[in-house]
Amino acid sequence: MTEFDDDDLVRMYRDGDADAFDALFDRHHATAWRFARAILGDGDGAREVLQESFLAVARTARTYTPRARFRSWLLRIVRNRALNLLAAEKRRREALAARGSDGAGVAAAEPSPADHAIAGERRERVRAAMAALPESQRQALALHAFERLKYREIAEVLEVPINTVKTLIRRARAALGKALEDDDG
Amino acid sequence: MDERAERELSAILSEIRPAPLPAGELLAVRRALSAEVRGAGAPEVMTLPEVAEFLRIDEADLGEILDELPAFELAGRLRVRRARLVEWIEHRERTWRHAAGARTVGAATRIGKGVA
Repeated sequence: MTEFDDDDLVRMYRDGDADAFDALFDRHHATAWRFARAILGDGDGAREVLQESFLAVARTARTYTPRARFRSWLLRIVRNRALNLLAAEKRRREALAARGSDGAGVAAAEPSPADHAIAGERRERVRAAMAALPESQRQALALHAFERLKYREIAEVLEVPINTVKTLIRRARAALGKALEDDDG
Repeated sequence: MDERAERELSAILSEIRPAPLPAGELLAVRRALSAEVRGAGAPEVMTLPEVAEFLRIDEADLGEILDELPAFELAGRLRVRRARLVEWIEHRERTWRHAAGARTVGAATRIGKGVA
């Protein structure tokens, strides 16, 4: 399946080739997972979003327009689902707070075991600063820094102009840079 | 930010990139998707009895819709691809909705004209 591009695989899947769908999953699940995690912060929610997003791809592959860049289409689905989950979690927390409950909120970004082993003060500052960014800045930065997406593709995913993407990333990096400067004292 | 700070920030961002989904969880996601994509039980190429079972109708009733089904002949027997059958169902759904809309408009028009 390595010689087929994403559009080929979608066409093959539409024609009944389930293995083509598997190839699309293999190619893109890691990116989808990391983006969901960047938005949600916690792993459980990100896994749910990953599965739901690919289910949506399976069910709506007929609506995908070739030349629309499959990865951008997939990441828009991931983003929408993650934001819906975030909104649902927020409503749940507000409901719990209204009842005076100590219900746990959405987990902040969880360091992996490897990060615990080699955790540095400055790394944690950047992680915390990133979690505190406005949603749109965090998403733009995650796609740029973690996935190495070009501005044009980030613009497609976030459905904003390219110049807006550049501004979001610049502001995000400035905020993270300030967090490091504050650490310098 | 100066160049040194930019480089440090870029390096840290690479280090805090989210770790991959654990293998066991990835396998669980794959299995769930496979059930959906492969239609858990429904083969990709179906015989007429399997089509009847999929549509939840008696095999005898298939004769009424045989001309409409997206079937193909193989070794003297008819077969239907599951993906095409799903598309055919969706087409019938759209046709039904369109007709339902026309029936609603028609009913509203008759009511408006005082016709029961």
